[in-house]
Amino acid sequence: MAGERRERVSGMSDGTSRSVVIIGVEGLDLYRSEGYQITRRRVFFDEVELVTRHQVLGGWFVGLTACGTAFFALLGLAALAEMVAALIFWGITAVFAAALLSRVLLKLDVITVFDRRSQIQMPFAVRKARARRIHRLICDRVRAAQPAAAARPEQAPEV
Amino acid sequence: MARSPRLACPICRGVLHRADLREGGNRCRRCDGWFEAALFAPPRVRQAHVGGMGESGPQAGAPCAAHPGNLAVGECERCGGFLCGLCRIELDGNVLCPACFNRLDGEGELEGTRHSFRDYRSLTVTAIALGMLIWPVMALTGLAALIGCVLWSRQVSRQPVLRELWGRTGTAICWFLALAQFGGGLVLLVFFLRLMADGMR
Repeated sequence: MAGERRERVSGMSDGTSRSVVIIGVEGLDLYRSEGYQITRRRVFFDEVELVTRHQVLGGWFVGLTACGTAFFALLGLAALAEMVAALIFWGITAVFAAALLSRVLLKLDVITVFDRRSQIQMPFAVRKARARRIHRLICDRVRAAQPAAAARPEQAPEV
Repeated sequence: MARSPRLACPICRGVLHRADLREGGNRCRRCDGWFEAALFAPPRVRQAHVGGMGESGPQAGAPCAAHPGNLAVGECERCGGFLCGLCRIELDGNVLCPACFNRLDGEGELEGTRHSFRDYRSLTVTAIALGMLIWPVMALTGLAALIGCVLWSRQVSRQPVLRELWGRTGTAICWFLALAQFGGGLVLLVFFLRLMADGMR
């Protein structure tokens, strides 16, 4: 596939597996690493039926960062007698609070691509302009691929 | 318009019908979530006409090697056998007959048909992490990590698409850590052996 315009679109991790989505000329490739096995799934642009973009808060992320913020803030309060320890705990609190605040303010942009058989989801946590650009890029490539596929003579007919 | 049950709400996974969707902003009836949609109509899979030898006659062309009644539309790029429209398989820019396709697929030579790979990078990272946790066995885990790096590099040279997965920086860091751990482990081993020899004396 040399010379293909390929770009790493999104990477995500859910604790047990890691996924990377790469956009190519023919379609989107999803590489999922689970355990010690990588599996590849492909969504072809000429089979795409729907592309969506929405925003979610992400309950697990918000819950965990809120718990972390509360826990370390309380530890900081409890360690007020030792100023250095309290400052360290409040530093950790600030990291959790910043992650929580950024998620609440910015939310998580998710692009979903549905084809005839499967779907691929791509989350974008911070870079919103990139999410919009990728959404436009996918739509443009689907618009370019589908008329070309309609005009192409079928190579492997069923009889 | 035909109702398609395949589409789902990207937020709640509830079934969406194509007729209920419109270009631009949409609201799911089930979860009330808002999402922006771009709708497409993929072309239907069409069935092509396979030319029969009876229709065109022997002067018009050669018959397919597997279907003598069908007119050949090309040759297999591996074995050179004539192919009709039924037998022609186009993959990774090559045209193959079903027999060559099966053989190459069985040997794992067709990159386009592979969808599962051993993740040597994760094995390497696990070995490095183990070495950091159980430092007396650093030489062993470092060696395992180095072997993992070599296997990963060999895999990437065979499947260049895997290079895009974790990037060059991550791979370079893995190599560095594996080498450092193996070297550190050897130094540690020599130190312990000397200590034991001194103790025995």
